[in-house]
Amino acid sequence: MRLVRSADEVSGGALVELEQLWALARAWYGDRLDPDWLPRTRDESQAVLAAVGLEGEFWELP
Amino acid sequence: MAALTARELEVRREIFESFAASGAAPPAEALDGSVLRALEEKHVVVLRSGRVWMAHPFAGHRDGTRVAAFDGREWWGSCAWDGLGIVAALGLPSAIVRSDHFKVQVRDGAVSGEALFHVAVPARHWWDDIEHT
Repeated sequence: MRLVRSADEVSGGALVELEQLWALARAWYGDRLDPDWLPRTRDESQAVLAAVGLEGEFWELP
Repeated sequence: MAALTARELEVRREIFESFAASGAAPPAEALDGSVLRALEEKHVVVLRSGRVWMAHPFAGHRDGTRVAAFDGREWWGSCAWDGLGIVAALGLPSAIVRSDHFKVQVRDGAVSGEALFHVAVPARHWWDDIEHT
């Protein structure tokens, strides 16, 4: 996973806009320092991806 | 992710509080090795030579993404996703995230920068080789 200037620099995979990455970072990691943190289930994590618009086969968690 | 025991949650909290406070993991000697290995099996941490290499979004290594708060404090992650995740987890209103020769800024909760985030590996394979992902 890395930042790039444009889609021309890469082939395959998926590109995420910065705003979307920020939304993902907040939803995925925002609770990691909460004192009562508990791990998400696979389905909960999948829902986090979907909530920020990351859907489809590429984003399917195992 | 599998459920964690009370002891695993306690050690995890110790690790994350250390990263939040100082940008670094506690010394490996201070942590219970068997609990660390259980946390690695459950994808809570990644170990290298017995030390905490990653505890997402934080990283024990210095090869990835650097997060700088405006008061001079710094933290490290493995990629831009982690860097922004550190900003979110710490609740920093503003910070600079430097990753892959790019500078991304969070100011008053809004992100800006001239970059796209490329994810090469499909989500189902992220943990096959997390250091490569």
